[in-house]
Order: sequence, then C-alpha cells, then structure tokens
Amino acid sequence: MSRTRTGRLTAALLLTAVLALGAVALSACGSGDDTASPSASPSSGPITVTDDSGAEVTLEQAATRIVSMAPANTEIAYAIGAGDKMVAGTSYDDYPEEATSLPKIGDFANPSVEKIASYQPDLVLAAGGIQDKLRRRLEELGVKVYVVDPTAYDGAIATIENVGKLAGADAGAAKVTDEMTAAQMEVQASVGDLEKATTFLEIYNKPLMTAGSGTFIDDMIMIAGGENIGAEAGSGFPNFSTEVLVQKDPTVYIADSGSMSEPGDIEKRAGFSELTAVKDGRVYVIDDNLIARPGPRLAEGLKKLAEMIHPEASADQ
Amino acid sequence: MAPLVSLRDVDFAYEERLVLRRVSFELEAGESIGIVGPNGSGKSTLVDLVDGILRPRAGEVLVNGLPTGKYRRRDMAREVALVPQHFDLDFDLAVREVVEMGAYCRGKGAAACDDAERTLARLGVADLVNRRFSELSGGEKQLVVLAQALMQRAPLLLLDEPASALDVSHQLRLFDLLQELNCGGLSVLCILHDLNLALHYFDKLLVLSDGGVAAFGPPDDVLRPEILEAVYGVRAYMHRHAGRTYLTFSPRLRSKRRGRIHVVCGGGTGAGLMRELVDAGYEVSAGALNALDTDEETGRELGLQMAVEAPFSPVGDEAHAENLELMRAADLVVVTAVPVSHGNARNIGAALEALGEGTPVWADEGVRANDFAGVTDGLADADVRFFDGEADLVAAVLGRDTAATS
Amino acid sequence: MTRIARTGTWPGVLLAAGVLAACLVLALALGPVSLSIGRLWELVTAGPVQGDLENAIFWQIRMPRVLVASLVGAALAVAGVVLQDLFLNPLTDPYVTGVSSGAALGATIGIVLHLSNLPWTTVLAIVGGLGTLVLVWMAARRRGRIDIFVLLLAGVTISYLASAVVTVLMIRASQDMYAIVYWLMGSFSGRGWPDVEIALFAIPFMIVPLFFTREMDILLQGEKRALELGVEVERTKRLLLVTAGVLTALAVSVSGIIGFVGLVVPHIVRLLVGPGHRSLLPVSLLVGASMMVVADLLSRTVISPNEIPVGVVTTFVGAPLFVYLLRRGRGV
Repeated sequence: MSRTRTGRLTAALLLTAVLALGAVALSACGSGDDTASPSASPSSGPITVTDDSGAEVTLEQAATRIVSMAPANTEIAYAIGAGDKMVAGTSYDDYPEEATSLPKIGDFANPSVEKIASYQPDLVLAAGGIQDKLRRRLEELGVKVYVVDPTAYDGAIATIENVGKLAGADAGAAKVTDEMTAAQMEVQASVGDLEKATTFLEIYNKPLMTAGSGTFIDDMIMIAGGENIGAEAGSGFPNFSTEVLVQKDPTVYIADSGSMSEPGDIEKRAGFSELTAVKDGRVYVIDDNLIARPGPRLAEGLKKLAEMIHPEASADQ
Repeated sequence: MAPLVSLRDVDFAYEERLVLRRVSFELEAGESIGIVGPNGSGKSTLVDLVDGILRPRAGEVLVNGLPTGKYRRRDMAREVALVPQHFDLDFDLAVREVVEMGAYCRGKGAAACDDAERTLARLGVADLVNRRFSELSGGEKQLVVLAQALMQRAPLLLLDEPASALDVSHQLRLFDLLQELNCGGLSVLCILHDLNLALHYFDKLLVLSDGGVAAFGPPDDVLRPEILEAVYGVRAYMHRHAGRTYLTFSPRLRSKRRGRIHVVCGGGTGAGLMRELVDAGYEVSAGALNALDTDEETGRELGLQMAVEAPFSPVGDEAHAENLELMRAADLVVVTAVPVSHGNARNIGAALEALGEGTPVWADEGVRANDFAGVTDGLADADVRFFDGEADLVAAVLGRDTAATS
Repeated sequence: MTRIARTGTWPGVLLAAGVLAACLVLALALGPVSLSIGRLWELVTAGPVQGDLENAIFWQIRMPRVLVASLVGAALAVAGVVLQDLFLNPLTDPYVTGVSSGAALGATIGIVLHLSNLPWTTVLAIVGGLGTLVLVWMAARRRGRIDIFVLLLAGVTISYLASAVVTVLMIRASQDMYAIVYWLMGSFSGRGWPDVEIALFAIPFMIVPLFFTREMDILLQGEKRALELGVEVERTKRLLLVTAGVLTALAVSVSGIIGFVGLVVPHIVRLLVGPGHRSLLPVSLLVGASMMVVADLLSRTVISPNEIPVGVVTTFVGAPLFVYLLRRGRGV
C-alpha cells in the first residue's frame, strides 16, 4: 500500500516538475522579447502589404510558419521577434546563432521548391532577382511569398515593417526600424554638412565589381557622406575598369569582406600605389554582412561606413 | 652482291586477316620488277612493307641487307622513294612547293631552285611548276607526285599503279621514262594492272594471288594463259604481232560447262569457229592438225587440246588414234570446209567412226567442194548434218544448245 | 583570291609586324585616359615612376594588360595553326584537345577555395590544363602511335567531363558563381605584371614550331605520305601536340577561355599568305596578337567603365568574319 502511494506521489511530483520546467522554458523563450504578450496576434483581420517587387501580398491572419529564402530575411525574422515562427531557412543562414539550427531548404541560388512546400509555410520570405521564377512556382502551390528587395535604406526600413505586419510582430518590427532610423539620423547629423568624399566600394576583386546606382549600398554610401563612383558604371553590381578607378582616384577605398581582399594586398595591386586612398591609408575592409544583407544590421553597416568615409566626424565625438 | 630488296617468308595481317603469306622474292640493284595480281591480292601491302611503312608479322624485309625496321625514316626515304596511288592534298600549295617536299630527306637546302622544274620537265610537264596543285587534273597530279618522289634521288623507286589516271600517251611516256631511268641505274618496283605493259617494260614480274606468290620470273614465263586463268579467272589469249607478244582476254561466260566440241579443220578454216566456240563457253578440241598450220597455231594460242602431226606429214597412226580419242570424248564433232587431201583424209574417216559410235557430226557443205581425196561422199551417205557456210554452222551450234535447253 | 606574299616569307611577316606595332600603339594610347603619341613616347622613355597617376595607369595597368593580350593572342593563334594542320581539319580550335576545360576546372577550384591571390588560380589552371593533356595523350596512344582521331574524341569527352564538374562546383559554391562564369568568359581585366611573367613562358613554345615548318608542310599530305617522304611522324606529332597543349594551357590560365581567335586567325592568314608554314606560323602569331590586342581595347573602351568580357568581343567579331570566309568558298 505504501508503495503505490509513493509511486503516485512521485509521478505527480515528476509531472509537476516537468510542467513547471516547461513553463519556465517557454517563458524564457519569450523573456528577451518584451513584446511577447501584448502583440501575440494584434490583428484578427486580413493583412495586406505591397512587397518590394510591387506585388500585393495578403494573409488572412498573421503568419505562423515562415520559411526564409535568404540569410537577410532570416535575420529580419529573428530580429523582429518572429524567430519562433521560422520553420526553415537557407544553408547560408548564419545569424543569429539560432538560425543555424533551422532546417535547410537549399541555398540562395537553388533552393528546392518541393522542400519549401513540404514545410507548409503560410509565408515565404524571398529575395529578388534569381528567385523570381521560384515565386511563381510557389504561388502556384498556394504558398504566399513576400519579396524582400529594397533599393534604398528607407526601403529596407519599410520592408521590415511590412514583414512585421505579416508575421504578427509589429512591435518587434517597430523596435528594429526605430533603431535603423535612429542610426540614419545620427549619421546624417554628423556627416551631413561635410563635403562628400569620393568612395569606391569593392564588392568583388576579380573581376573588379562595385555597387552601382539603385542599390541600397549606394544609398548608404550617400547617407554616410560619400560619393559612390561606382554609380556611374550603371545599376546593380557592374564590373569596373581598373584604369577608370585609378583615373577617378577616390578618396576612400572600401572592400567588402566577401571579396577576400586585405588592405595590404589591395595596396600592392597594379596601379594602386598611386591612388590617393592608398597613399593616405584610407583603405578599409568592411564586413559584407553589414552592408550586403538588406536586414536589421544595415544600421550597424551605415555607422561603420560613416566612420570609414568621414573618420574625422567620429574622431570629434 | 646482296640484292637491293629481299623478302623472306613474309607474312602480313591486318588485325586477324592474313593479307600476305610466305612471300619471298628478291630485287637486284638495277632490276625493274612489275607486280601484278587481282585486286586484294596484297600488292599495295607488299610495297608498303618494302618501304618500311608496315612491319611484317613474320619473316623479314631487307633493304640493302638491313631490316626495314632498323631504318630511320629519313634514311629510308633516301633509299626508297614511293609513288602512291592516292594522295590527299586539301590545302592549296603550289606545284613547285609540293615537288620540293621530295628533297626533304636529302637535308636542308638540298633542293636547288630549278631542281623541281627540271624534274617536271623530264616528265614533260614543266609548265605545271607554278600552278596550284589543287587545280590540276588527276593525271597531272599523278605526274607531280612522281616528280616529288624523283626528287628524293633514291636508288629504288616504288610505284603503286602510277598510270591509273593517265591517258594512253602519258601512260606510254611514263613507262618509257621508267625504262630510261632504269637503264640509268634506277631500280624499279611497280604495281600495275595493264598486263601488256607489264609484259613489255619489266625484267621480271611478280604475280600475286590471294596473298601468295603465284609466279615470279621473266614476263614471258610468267604471264602464261594457264597462270593467268588460275590467278584472274579469265581466259587469256596470247598473240604474236611484229615480234611482240600481246595478251587479250575474255571473261568466262558461264561457269557451267556447255559441252565439248571437237573441230576437224586446217588451213585457217577453223580459226574463227574455234574462237567463237571458246568464247561461247565450250570446251574445244581439234585435230588432227599439222604443226605450223594456222589452225594449229590458233589452237595453241587458245590452249586447246589437239591431235597434232609433224609439219607437212600425212596424219600418222598416233595422231589418228589421239584424234579418235578426242572425238569420242566430245559431245559433237564439227567439220569445217577444210581442203581434204591424202594427208588429212583420215580425219574424215575418224569422224565417220565417231558418228558410228554415236557422236553427232555436223559439217560445212564446203568440205565437199574441196575434196581431193574423194572421201567426203561418205559423209553425205551417213547421218551427217550439213550447213551452208561457217555462219550457219556456228549459229546452229550455238542454237543447238538453246534448242536443247529451251 | 588575293595573295599578299607569294614568294618568300619576309614581306608577309614584316607587314604583319607592322600591323601589330600599330595595334599596340593604339591600345596603349586609348582608354579612359587618352594619350597622344607624344605623351606615349614620354611615358615609354620615362619608365615606371612614382607620383604620376598617368604613369601609373600606363605602366601598371595598361602596359601589362596589352602585353598579356598580345602574348595570349599569339599563343592561341600558333596553337590553332599547329592543331589544324595536325588534325587536318579546318574546324579545329586550340580547345579541341580538352586542355582548356581542364584549365577551367583548375581555375574554378582555385576560385572556389578562395585562393584569390594571383598565382594560385593561374597555377591551378596550368596544372589542370597540362593534366588534361597527359590524360588525353594516354588515351590516344595505340601501339606506340598517337591516333589523332582518338585524341580528338578523348579531348571532347574530357572537355564535357571537366565542364560538368565545373558546373557542379558553380552550383555548390553559388556565391562564387559570378566569378567563375566571368573567368570562363575570358578577360584581361586586372592582369598585371605577374600575369605577364607567366605568359612569357609561352614564347619558347611559340618559337618551337618555326623549326618544323618543312615537316608541317609535308604532313599536310597525310601521315602516311609524310612517312614515305622521310618525316619522323610520331616524334613530330608528339612535339607539336605538346607545344599546342602547353600554349593553350598557358593562355587559358592567364585569361580564361577566349574563343575564335585560335580558330579564325589561321584561316585568315592562310588566305593572305598561303598554307606554307614558313609564312603561316609567324604571320599567324603576329595577327593573333594584333587581333587580341584590338579586341581587348574594344572590350575596355566601348562601355567604359564597364568592361565587356573579351571572349564576347572576339566571338562577336570572329563569328561573322568566319561565316564570311566560309561563304567565300573553299579558300581555306
């Protein structure tokens, strides 16, 4: 008789313990997110936004299963607090830490449509460009797709807001966008009056590739007080003649880390020894994740660009 | 002195197919040898072996006593020059440049400026020197390639059907030239198809058949009708004309033997008939004829079996007996309008005897007209069929078979 | 059919040299910074100096680039002549042996492993190219002879194989896809003095065939006839194949796969000076260099500051030219 009672007691205690732990765990998940309670599902009606490709995206209710097709989009989802709704990402998702353990749907250029569909997402965050074809295929399968492809810094802000609405994370999105707007205003305040410094941003080394007009990188350089000489080579990411680069002789030379160049190597390149930027030691490398991904970290990227383009402004502070 | 070229028991095969078997022959310096034989008998292969392009599977090929395998190409080209039958030149070079290529083996600077012209002139085509090779006719190209080979100044010239694209005058000119060169010391080994040219222009002939040597020796010994029939499968006839021998050929019309006919003739009355019957596919015999009689000569040319008596002698017992044998072996005996005299009267008797034994006998009516021995009446009394003239007789003989078979 | 130099080689060679000199001057003078002849001369005589932007552009960017272009153009043209006459096929280009695909694979591996320091990608490309040459060679050896037909088949097969591997690598490392594709298209952008040093290795290999012009002429009649006329055919074939292979590997490793020059230049030159190799080889060398230098000039000036990959320019110019030549009749 005492055995059964002890058994029952133990079982009850264990069950309570498990439940308690579960509650603690669950609450810990949401503890860093002070928006968890009030805006769990802010709107109960249909949500309609226009994405960066100009298409209207409507969800009946906030998304609960999100698949991301680009590392930037994954970053956005986690930053606005919708990380718990992420069901799959790309093999290149490396930020934040949690994203690396997400199931993978393939890489940026060749994600698997079948795999995406198998996760039964109610929202897919796609990138522009080559993923366009896939968008149609996905929509044919009844999946809602939102394309993230801003061409300017404000565009990035607006799109994050939209994603927040679709994911039912309006407050989280507002926090992120506020930070981004603040960064922009801060930078504008410190460098807005200074003379624009001619800048070249190297996206890739061989061939020499830069950010052209109509890219958010170009916009960020401008906000940071620079004049992007890459803009005259066209829109998108055009290749750039070394001769013209030397002729234009930019004041600042920034290489993104994706081009695998070190300032030491850059200075040794053919013809570069005569560049003002090289002679004045104004050759920098910037982490490409801060400027190439249209996500929350653009704020950081913007500040870094400003430091590099106008070091005198930050020196004053 | 060692022969210039020596083949000993040479075998050659392409993959598994044996193309030459146990071929042996020798070419002495200064000789000209012609190679003849049906298509596919291995002639070109043989020439390629002599030039060291191919290596024998068994046996040895020696040039100047050394196996061809031991030669470097350049040295071989100085010993042996080859004039191929086919040549490819798709690129547009001048004739002069093509001819001068022949001097490559002699080393740098070997071709003097006018060497090419002189060589072409020898061949009678000096005017080609500045033309484009690709614009030439087949025959002209052949001569240019010959000039190219001559530029090698090798002591042995190999030719693979050098005259195949040439017209008659150029053919003869070519062979006359080869003979001239041969007289000047150039050894020649030449494949050719024209057996009459082969008869006249070469010291020796090598007859290849089915990969083996069918005959080797002086042309007259080698180009005999029996050998030619065995090798080529055609009927060959030798003719003598102005001191030279000529060959003509006729195809064997039917593989099925039509029958055997014995012709009693002489003095030229049977020549035409014998040829026609042979052409028609019959096996023909004749007799009894005197040696030196024109019909006997024809018979010899045609390679017929004959009962022959000494010249100017009456038919003797031996000849007569043989004649009877031949008649008995025949399906039909034909008597031409041969003048009958005391000397060949026994032939008529033999015919009658054969008739009595069951062999049909036909005769030209004209035989009665020239009967000086008075024996042909016996023909009329017997069951002999008469015809009015050779044409009728021939027609009847030829028609006989079709009548029989139809 | 016009023939510029029928007799002797010198008229044709001198003319071609003159054309190359003119092209070089043009290419060195023109660009985003245009230089007058006088200024050009000043810069040339002054040598590379510090402190002058124009000087830096001229000596550090333009000069090595033009030199590399001329060396690559010459190498491809010579390789084209040699292979066309070895294969006795007018449609042969230097890439038919598969060497270019092997080089492309080597370079792709270099790009994917992010060994973007100059020598590595180039070195791997050379290794890939020469490795392919060896493979193809071994495949084509039959009883001590090199079977040209089998060589061609082996080259094509290995080409396809290497290309397939490159494609897989491109997909797996998709962030490098653009760099790989750009490399494959062929370009002289960013080529500097280290590239010139590598391209200089091509010079002895361009000179070697000049010692075999008689043999190459005779080989036009086919291998058998060449044997009969005294040419050591196998030895000559081996030498010429290795020469063409090395030239192609060097060219491709320095500049990527630039098409049409190796195919069309030999034909153009044949029309001008005939198929005799004493003229054909040196003039092709010079014309190939000229053509490449001009193509590179166009590639970097037409949509400046953007650059058109030079392989695109040579194809756009070479293709119609080739069709025109073909239509003129069998003058090849």
